[in-house]
Amino acid sequence: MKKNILFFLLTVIFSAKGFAQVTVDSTIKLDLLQSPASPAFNILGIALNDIERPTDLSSFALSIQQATNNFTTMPNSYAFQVAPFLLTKRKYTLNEFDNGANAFKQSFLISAGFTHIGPKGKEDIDSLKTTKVGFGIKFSIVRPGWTNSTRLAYNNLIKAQQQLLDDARIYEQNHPKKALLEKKKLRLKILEDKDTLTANETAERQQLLEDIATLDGEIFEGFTDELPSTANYDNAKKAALAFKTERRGFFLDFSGGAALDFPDNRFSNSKVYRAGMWFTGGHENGNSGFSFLGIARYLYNPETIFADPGGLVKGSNVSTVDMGGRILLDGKEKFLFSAEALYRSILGNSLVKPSWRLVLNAEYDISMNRKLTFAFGRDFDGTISKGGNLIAAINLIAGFGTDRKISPKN
Amino acid sequence: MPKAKSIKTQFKESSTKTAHFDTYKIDKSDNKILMNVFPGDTGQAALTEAYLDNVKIIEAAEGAVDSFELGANKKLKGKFLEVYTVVTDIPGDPDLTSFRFQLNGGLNPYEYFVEKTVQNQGDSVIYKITIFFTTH
Repeated sequence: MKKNILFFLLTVIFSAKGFAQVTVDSTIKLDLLQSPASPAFNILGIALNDIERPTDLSSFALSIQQATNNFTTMPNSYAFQVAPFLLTKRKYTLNEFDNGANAFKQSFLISAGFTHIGPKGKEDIDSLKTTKVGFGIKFSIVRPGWTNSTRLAYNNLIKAQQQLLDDARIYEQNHPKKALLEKKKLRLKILEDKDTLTANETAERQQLLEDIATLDGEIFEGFTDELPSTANYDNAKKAALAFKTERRGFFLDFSGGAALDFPDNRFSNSKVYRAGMWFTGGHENGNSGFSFLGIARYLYNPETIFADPGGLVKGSNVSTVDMGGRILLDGKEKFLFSAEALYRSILGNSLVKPSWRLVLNAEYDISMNRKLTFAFGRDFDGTISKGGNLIAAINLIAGFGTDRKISPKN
Repeated sequence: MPKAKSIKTQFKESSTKTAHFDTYKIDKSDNKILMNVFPGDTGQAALTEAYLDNVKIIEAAEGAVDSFELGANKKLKGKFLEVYTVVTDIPGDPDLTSFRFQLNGGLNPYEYFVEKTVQNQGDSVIYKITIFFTTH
């Protein structure tokens, strides 16, 4: 019951775009889904992939992660991320996303996550469940530019917009009241040339200003009333609907974060579960073909380490360094296959042997806002995990009210 | 005497009006007048063009127009500035389009802001502002 209440409250409070997930992360937006890159989930150790693709952001996003394979229980892992620079008065129009000048501010995000599950492989055992809270940041150091197809789509949109501006000007020039408007403007100019105005001239000037405002407004509103029914308006709309952000090139992201564990679920008793920072880089190939990603990650584990949750070196302040790569194959915007491999080295401790992780992942966009995912692999601790679930996204979208996208697919 | 408009009608008009006319008080100095146009919300596509006494001074400016120099105060006396900006909603991005216009360098800073929500994804809104530079 408490979980239901918590879920309902989060739904109401965060009435922004959200996405729901069974076993794996998925992002829901109008015409494209993408697994989110939340450093909070990464530092908590519950992200689907350790090596994340670069993302474009919206100002706010909420994610939910479900540790079971269906909707029989409420989600028990949550994360939200905020792009603070996108919440300011400064707005970034579409063209400003095709260069690196504003990459830091456009990509900087702060995320926070919460989970209440047991250790890996025993997530659903109530007696082992503890509450963990994670915080993270992420930003782009190097961001790839748009692909040629994205830039072509943008140029088509700009051409269509130019046509609308031309239409507006032509409509005004041909309007029957245009001559009267110009006549009043000319009279106003003549009065403006005078250093001083008589009382009558002042009154006339005031009337001219009002008439010009009225005429100018009437003429332009006449155009905007007709605008939606014009062919050029439809062309602009088609160009906008056809636009999809796709990037290609080398990228480098920085992420960092820390997680707290509340072993007995009391606020007064917490310990640092994990802290770390990592660089993710590689070559993004857009929405088709192969993309190659790599990661270099340092993690500090004061109490336990991911590689040995049994507690072999518990409390010994073990640090680990992870190095790995991920290869992704995008297939005609419907399929996404990826394979991720990481090797973990232990710093300053000979009790624990190095470990490795290998995960194969497949995603399929069933339809708009629906995605099927499947993951199979070996984790650092040696457990085998797999999961694949249809995203019943519609039910949860309605709750979150999605009127903003989370991120265009890169 | 014109018929009084209801609050509902006035609200509807104010929420859909995308053309605006105003005056901007200047002096006879050589100080430069600078113009800013900040269209749209983050992620929207915007294109701006401007005319000074029917002469095109800005052609196809994508995104924001920042600190565009219109000329000295004394040179602008009695001239009309017309600025057109089209903002197109991109699917998934905010549906609220906007237009922020600023002038600096005259007697006082000037700012005008208007916004309009599009009804459908991909819709466009065209904003227009006309400014008359005056010393009176």
